[in-house]
Amino acid sequence: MLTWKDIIETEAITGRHEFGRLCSGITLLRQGRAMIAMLPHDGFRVLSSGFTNGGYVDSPLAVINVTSMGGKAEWTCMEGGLETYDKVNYTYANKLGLDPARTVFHGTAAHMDNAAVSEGTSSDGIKVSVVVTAGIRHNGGRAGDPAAYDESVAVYEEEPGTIITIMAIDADLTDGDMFKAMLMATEAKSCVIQELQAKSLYSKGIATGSGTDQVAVISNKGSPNKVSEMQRDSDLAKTITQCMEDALRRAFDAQTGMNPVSQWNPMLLMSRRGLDPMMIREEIRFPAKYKELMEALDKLSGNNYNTAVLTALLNIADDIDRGLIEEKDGVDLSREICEKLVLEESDDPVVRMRLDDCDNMNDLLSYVSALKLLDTVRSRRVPNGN
Amino acid sequence: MGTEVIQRGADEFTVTFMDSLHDCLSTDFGMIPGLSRITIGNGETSFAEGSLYIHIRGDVTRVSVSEISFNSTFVTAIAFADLSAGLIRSGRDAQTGDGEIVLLILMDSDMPDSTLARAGITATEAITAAVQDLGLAYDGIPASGSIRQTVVTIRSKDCGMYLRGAGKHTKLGELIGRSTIEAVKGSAADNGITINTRASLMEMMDGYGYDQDRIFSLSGCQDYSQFLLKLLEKDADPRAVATVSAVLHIWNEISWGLVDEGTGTEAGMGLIGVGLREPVRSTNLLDTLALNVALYFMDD
Repeated sequence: MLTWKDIIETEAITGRHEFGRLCSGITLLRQGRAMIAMLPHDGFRVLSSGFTNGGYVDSPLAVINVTSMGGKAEWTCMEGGLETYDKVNYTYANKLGLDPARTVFHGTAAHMDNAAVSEGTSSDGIKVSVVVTAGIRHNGGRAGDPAAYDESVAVYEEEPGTIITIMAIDADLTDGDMFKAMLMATEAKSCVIQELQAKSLYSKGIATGSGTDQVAVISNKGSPNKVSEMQRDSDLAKTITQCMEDALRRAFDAQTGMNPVSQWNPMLLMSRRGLDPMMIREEIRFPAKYKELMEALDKLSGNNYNTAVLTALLNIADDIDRGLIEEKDGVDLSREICEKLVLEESDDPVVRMRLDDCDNMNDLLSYVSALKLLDTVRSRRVPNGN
Repeated sequence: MGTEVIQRGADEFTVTFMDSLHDCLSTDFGMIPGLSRITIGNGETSFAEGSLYIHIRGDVTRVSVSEISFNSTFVTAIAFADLSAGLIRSGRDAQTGDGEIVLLILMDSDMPDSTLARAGITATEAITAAVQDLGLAYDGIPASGSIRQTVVTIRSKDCGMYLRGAGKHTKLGELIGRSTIEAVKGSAADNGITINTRASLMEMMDGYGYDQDRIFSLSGCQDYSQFLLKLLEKDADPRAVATVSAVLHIWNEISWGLVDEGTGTEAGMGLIGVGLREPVRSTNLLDTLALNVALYFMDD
């Protein structure tokens, strides 16, 4: 079986070319699978949550983000746990011509060409720049979700789908403020994810990040801009978070096509609660051909009004989960919303009985979706019904 | 959990470590090796001779503790959370007033500095999750945290277990997330904010710029005491609460660019019609909701 060593030995490493610039004279270089934030002098201090050479690091040569290799070979990087992962990083840094001991590493499944760069300047003239790679479709999670890996008894494993942030602040920050900046970027990330209504894959909730996000904050210790006791409502804090939000939105879009338009999809939104087209199709025995059903599903997915009502119903389901309202109250209201705003009138007593029988939000959403699909099939059969 | 002693007093909340094998990463001071004591109180934030003092403005007796374990991994979250004012959404102007979150994450395992940082990331996400769960908003913006937020992650070097993963997909990360959410909500409750107090039309509308006086002025009622009686009767009606929450969610979705204003408004009007009353239209969906909440109070 191919191993990570085989891949690194064999892969061709292209020459470095400039991808962009960060503040403080930092150049972003693309080389092989890496994005290299090359620091122009040794007057920088970095705080990184990355595994290899993380923590506070003085005078690093570079902060890098590396796309994983993909395929089975990628899994060999984790055989032996993070010690192997460190070896992989060191080996690859050598291949890139970087001194591994002076390199701060981060890793992801996202491709570096899909990185997004954003920059801003605070009202007091401090420049901030961020480069982000992002994907959470396969690894989105909400804080507190159940986790699979107990590192105390099992070898550590990474999951694909990670948000990597390398942030440069053209100021001499205290160590505490570097940590603050890292956490501000984190909070900004969770806000963007909320605004995209991106789901957790491990609960019914909206994600707050991926399981494996990493952040590096680069402080220019030689800068005349001295920052200490940074306030969360300061203009610098706002600049940091706005840069983060802008870069993250563009990185999501570039890597996975995740944006407000693609997220406004009823099937995608319902999948957060474990509902999928197959389950919906199983609710009733459709008097329709498969092609008709698929076309009706497409038609339904394009109905923004229905999707808006669906998100309201999902919000009611969330309100039940977080204890704002009782389940019966939420389901009763939702049933009435569906009957008055979504479904065609029906005098079928079975429909009535089944709607009344739904005593939880998932049952109701699934059955109503099936009825709506049936309504859509029927309406498309009527001349000019589309 | 390990070798620490937690003491609650009227003026101070203290965690004393019985050895010098604890380090922390703090948003005030960065890395602190050889931590012997952490105190939460109304004094000045400082660090000297192994003792970290964290200032809070609020009542120290409202510090909440949550300890969760899985197999041999233990996490204790200690939080003070006053979410009654001073809320903030990342990148936006903060709400006026005082409010704060102080969070200590005690992990009964050794780990590298980078993992202490990653634990802070996971804990910060959990703070945001707790704030989201409580549906807190100000000036029409859902909040993501507090204007003053202190996070301290603490490792124990004497436990024999060395962990490097603190992301959400690890058990350590899960425990950080769960304990943080529980401790933050616990302290927020002690400071008067719970999911039950949030089940209020007035509380929800207040977060979107419509306080009680504005709702009263929209209600058409001339008698404030009569209005208050109606408010007492209807403010926590679950059907109305769920409806208002759902319409506010659509309002947020409009502002986030998920749905166009026309479609969102149409759907929101439909919801108001089902859950509150036959809607009277105003300038936009939020104004329409506020007007109809006001009229709903006065409906027979």
